[in-house]
Amino acid sequence: MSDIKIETTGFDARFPNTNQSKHCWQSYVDYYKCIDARGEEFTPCQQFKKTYKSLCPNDWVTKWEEQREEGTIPFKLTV
Amino acid sequence: MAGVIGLVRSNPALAPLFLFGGGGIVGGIAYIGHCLVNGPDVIINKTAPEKPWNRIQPHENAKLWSPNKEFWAERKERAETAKKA
Repeated sequence: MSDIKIETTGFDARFPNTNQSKHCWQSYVDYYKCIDARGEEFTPCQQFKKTYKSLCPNDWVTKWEEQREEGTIPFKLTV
Repeated sequence: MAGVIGLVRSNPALAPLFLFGGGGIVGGIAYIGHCLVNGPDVIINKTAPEKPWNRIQPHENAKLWSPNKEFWAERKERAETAKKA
């Protein structure tokens, strides 16, 4: 039990307030842009994934994943 | 405007009212304009590829005032040492 590390993402100066919605969206976009630019094996991309997994409401993530699969996502996920 | 000047000429005691009231209104509108142009929160130009909050550097404080000065001083220090290195 003692070796389970529960963490969240660190402070981001771009989003200093309580409302982290933009932070969630930005890290989701940055993760997929990072994957697109450097490939899935590039480990620094996982920092963005950790951020969006911690911050984003699961409903948003599932909605965006569905839209991404259909190709109807309203924003650009490629560099 | 001419009506205001006429009114103040006949009742000079009203001058501070117009000064402070006018100053407050102008200051309020100027602050709103400043936030729209320089604030990191609002997207004015939708076609620009860079979002306005991405220009904030890791050591930059976007708030007007923050009580936690050591935190920001530390971040600023870290940014300076990173720049030198």
